[in-house]
Amino acid sequence: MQMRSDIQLTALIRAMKDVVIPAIDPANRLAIEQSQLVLGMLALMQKQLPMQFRFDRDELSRLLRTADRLAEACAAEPGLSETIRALADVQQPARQRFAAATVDPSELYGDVVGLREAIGALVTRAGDAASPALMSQIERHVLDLSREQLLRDRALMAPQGWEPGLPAVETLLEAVR
Amino acid sequence: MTSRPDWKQGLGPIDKDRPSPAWIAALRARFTTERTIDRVLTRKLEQRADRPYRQTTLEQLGAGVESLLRANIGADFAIRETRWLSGGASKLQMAFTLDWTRPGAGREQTPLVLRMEPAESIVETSRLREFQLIKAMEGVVPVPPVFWCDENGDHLPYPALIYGFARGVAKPSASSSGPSGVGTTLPPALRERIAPQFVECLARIHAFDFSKADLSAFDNPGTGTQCAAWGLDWWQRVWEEDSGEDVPLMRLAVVWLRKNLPVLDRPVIVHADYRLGNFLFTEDDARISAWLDWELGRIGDRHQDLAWTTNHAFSSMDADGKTPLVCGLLPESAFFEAYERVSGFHIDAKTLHWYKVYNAYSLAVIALATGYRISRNAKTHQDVLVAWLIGIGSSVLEELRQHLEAGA
Repeated sequence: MQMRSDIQLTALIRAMKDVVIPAIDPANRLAIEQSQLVLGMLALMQKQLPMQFRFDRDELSRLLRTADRLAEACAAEPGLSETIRALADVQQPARQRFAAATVDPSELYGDVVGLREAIGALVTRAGDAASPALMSQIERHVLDLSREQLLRDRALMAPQGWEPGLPAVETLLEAVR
Repeated sequence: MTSRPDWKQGLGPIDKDRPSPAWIAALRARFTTERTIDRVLTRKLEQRADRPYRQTTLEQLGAGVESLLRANIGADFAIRETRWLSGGASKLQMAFTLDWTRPGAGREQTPLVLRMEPAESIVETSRLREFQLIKAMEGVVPVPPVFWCDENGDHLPYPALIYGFARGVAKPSASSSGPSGVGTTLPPALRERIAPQFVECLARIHAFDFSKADLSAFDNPGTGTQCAAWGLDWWQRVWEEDSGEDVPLMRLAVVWLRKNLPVLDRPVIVHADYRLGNFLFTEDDARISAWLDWELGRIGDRHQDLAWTTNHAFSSMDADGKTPLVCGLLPESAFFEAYERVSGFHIDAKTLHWYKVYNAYSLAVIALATGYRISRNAKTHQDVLVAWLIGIGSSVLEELRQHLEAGA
């Protein structure tokens, strides 16, 4: 997926800075103030988005640690037993998810990019080296991969309105959860 | 934001945002294109690292136009009413009025348009080629008159040309469409008037005898497979230069295209972006008044235009919601039948299919590779539009996949 949020935000910020804000009537103070806020918010998103997952994971680790300490400290207090049980009910699945969330999204994306490139290199080499029968098999696999992936890519871009009638991307992604 | 290095055998890590001379030389050696195409692509890479697009003002452009005109027509002129024009995803345009003594016409106030490249464009092309091609087409099909060309940006911040302001609209005044005219719909009565002219103009372009025209910036591939090979090398080179993420389907497409190069039977002028949105028409009499955007034109195969024009990305549905109309004008079968009848040229189904794959490939290169690279590097006056167009890439790839399925 080439059209990622980093490219979109970079382009939006440039359009605001170079074209939109300079064109605003200087007498329209409200428009000037809000356009600066839009610019600031976009810049903030640009900074935050790449680290959002890591930020949440970091906070979750602290919350789990604090919950452990609180449970230990309050263990002997009968008046808090019900609340401590409720805390444990939330803590348990959170701990499992924390343990599972070890890979940063950027690493996952790095693997996507790496595999795209390695498969592409194989296809190119096979174009010269593979027998017609093997090339035909390779074609089949790549076309199958492309059909399934492109459906998801197109569904992700559906709000842009290029193609009508695509399935909801949320439904398509549900299958891999 | 750092660039992910790309490793190429024997060259070490490739940083496409800061191309090394060795990598540029390797690309030039690997891909054979027309000489002018090679020159503009090489220039693009050589200037990539240090040259983001710098916003220019109307005053700066006016001064550049003045310099260009002084070099061509002396000092007896005045530039008035400079203003921005919107439209198109590729070049920056400024309208102005020139008060001058026009050869053969006397003193007049001529409405003109400056068309200038940004630092890098969604399609990297030559202004000289565009200038020569429009000149060659004068009297063949309606085109705006072209006046002067600043081929290397000697006078203006970037290479540019100046052409006459043509009357007409690219879409009905009361309609809406996406960027670059994609998605425009025409009312049936207008369609019926425009469609025959649309076919007629294409036939005339393809029938034009270019042997006596000044097309020094073009190379003639002659008959045989060189035309297709040059075209494929052009777009594969741009993919290598600009792409971020690799796409296995694009690699498969190249393998298929190289194994099935069609033989050109007759070199013709190819517009290469012949579609709704790239011509003007006058609304009062529904006449096509100017064909625009010749920048991708070349001496090539008529099937390239036929395949491009019938690309699904440029079609829209008839009122019944079931019949796709070529450029919103007429069904594909009717378009091909009319073209063969008017031009006298045969359409070869196999060659047409090859160019459908080729065009989908080149369109995917433009959207996914160049759109990504130039918006990432802040290279244009409208990065936000260019970034928006990346979104059509997956639909184009789907079309490419379907064509490969049909031909694999």
